[in-house]
Amino acid sequence: MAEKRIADVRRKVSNFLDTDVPVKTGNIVETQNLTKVYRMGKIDISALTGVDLKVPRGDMICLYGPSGSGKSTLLNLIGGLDKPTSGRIMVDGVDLTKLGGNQLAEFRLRKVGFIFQNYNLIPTLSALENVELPMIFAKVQKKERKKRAVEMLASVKMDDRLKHKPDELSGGQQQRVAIARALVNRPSIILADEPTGAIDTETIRMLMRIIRELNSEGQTFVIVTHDLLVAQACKRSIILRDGRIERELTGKEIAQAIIASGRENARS
Amino acid sequence: MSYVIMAVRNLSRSKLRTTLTTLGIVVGVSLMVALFAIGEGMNVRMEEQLRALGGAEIMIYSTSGTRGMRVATRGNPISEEYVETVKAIPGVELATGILSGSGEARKNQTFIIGIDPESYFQLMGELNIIEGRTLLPSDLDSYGTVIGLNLAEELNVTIGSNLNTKSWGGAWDAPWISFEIVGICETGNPQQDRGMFIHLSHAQYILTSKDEYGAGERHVTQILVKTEDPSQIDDVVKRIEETVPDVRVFAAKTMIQRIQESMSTMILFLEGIGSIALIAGTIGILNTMMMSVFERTREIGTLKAIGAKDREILVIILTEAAIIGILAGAIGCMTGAAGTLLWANFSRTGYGITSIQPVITLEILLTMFGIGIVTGVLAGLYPAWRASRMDPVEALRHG
Ligand SMILES: Nc1ncnc2c1ncn2[C@@H]1O[C@H](COP(=O)(O)OP(=O)(O)O)[C@@H](O)[C@H]1O
Ligand SMILES: [Mg+2]
Repeated sequence: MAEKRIADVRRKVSNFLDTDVPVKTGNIVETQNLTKVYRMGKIDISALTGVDLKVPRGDMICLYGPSGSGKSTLLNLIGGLDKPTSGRIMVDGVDLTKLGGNQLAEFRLRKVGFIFQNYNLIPTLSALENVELPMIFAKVQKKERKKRAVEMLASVKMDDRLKHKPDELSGGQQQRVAIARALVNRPSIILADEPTGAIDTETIRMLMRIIRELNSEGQTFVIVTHDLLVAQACKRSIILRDGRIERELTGKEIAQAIIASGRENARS
Repeated sequence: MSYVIMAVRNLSRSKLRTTLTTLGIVVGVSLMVALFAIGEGMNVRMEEQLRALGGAEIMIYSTSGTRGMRVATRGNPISEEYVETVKAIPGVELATGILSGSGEARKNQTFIIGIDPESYFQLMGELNIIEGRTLLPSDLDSYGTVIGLNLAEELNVTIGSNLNTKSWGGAWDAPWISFEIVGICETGNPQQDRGMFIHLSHAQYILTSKDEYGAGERHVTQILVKTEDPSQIDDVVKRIEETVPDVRVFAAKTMIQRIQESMSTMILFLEGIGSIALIAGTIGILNTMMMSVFERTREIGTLKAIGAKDREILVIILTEAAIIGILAGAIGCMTGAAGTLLWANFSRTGYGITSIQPVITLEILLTMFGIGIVTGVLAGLYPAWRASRMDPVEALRHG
């Protein structure tokens, strides 16, 4: 009786992701008039105001802007970590504003891969185990889990460091493991919040090469950054300012800005 | 890899803290194991005492000082002539006098029980003789003794062996008798099974005589009484109290009641101590789990971001708590059992409360192991709930 109910709920939870909207648009992400207000005591802080963003499938888009412009807030809303004050977010055909806590967790598990500035690997787990972790939550069988984790680590060229713990890896290596972890449940979209914030230029290039390679295989990325090298590596860059989308940045502008800042071209 | 492995890794991340946390419950559990074992031992002891009472319905002890008695004798003396006085009291069917005390046989401590075989066995029933024969009136002249099985094994003696016996701790010229073993008994009463049944006047010589050449005092330490009509016991008690001076008279059934009462108070008290230790242990776990959850705030945020549901976070943290509980329960049971056995070894020859032989049963161990686990899980409940309810964005922003 109880088991049957749990099974029903489980089916509902896992099916809503596929069946909610029958017609999928070409956009993986579509936000409408998205607003986020943080209430700090008596003061309201508008982190996002009327954001309309469309991210086509297979895109590799960069959210560029100064600190406090609302980049992280937007990314967290798209990733189902947080709920908007008003507006609508559709991600891969799912209306996130309609989901409850457990459904959001299921959504993050199946549809989203997160990459963080400080990698956020679990320090007690090896590289392999860290990559296995999302599959444990997704109830993937042990054998399949191992196989896929090794594959993913190979795709970021980390298959020679399977047994290493995070503190035995360099920053760039940790971030590659984190990328493998984000990829392993075959998400619709990968969201990266300043993934290169703590990494040297040489390693940034290497990481961006890996990300571009994955993107060329069809993986959609949204990357928050204030690093021009990262922006340059992306297909599109959108400037955020004071919680609004200001405009799109052209490649030429980025190149000029990089030269002006004295850093060499990231694509060379 | 599983939640269990994750939990073990987490616990071994700060070994000292885990150890200290575990210690709280270990102390509680081992204390409880020891206390329950003592409680169980008390039960066993009471059953033995009940059995030892045999047909005795009334017991008479003296209230007066140790006039002319050695320290070795147990209880204060009553003049032997009162045995006859008691017999003459209306309502008394049988009465027998006993003189008991610590003795020394072949340098080993033993328990001397001086009896008048005829009236004693009539009142108390026959001894359970496993070898040889029981004590007879004729052993008065032939210096026969019936000893307990445990004493026989300890001294490695058998029927026909001689035992030089004097009072325990007696001087070099203390009066002694060489007894011949005529029988070996097993009564189930630990004192009797390490003791020697001898004639009353032999016991009087050994335990109360001033020196080798003096005769013993005609004393007993107890008089046991059987009534004609058990429903009249209270009246008989009253009559004895009125007739015999300086004695305390107990009806067996009130004595048993009193023992039971004091024992249940004792056990309640012991359980109280154990519970306090367990509660302290629980608070310890709660505290360290809260700390460890707080320290891992960002990790928990990460787990949520990659798709862990609240319930899964709850299970992960509870698994850690359960492992602490299992460890603490197991170690606590072991240390508790070890401590109890030590106590048992130490208390083998004592009297009174210290003579209680703790009894460890499988039931005690399983119960306490279970309580250890339950304590761990209970203590982990709140920290686990807090962790599961963390807001992922807040958690990820955490230092
Ligand atoms: N939890 C919060 N509570 C209050 N204000 C917040 C919170 N999170 C973000 N903000 C505010 O919202 C604005 C946007 O923040 P954020 O999205 O983190 O910017 P960015 O990632 O571009 O630096 C900032 O003014 C920030 O102070
Ligand atoms: Mg940010």
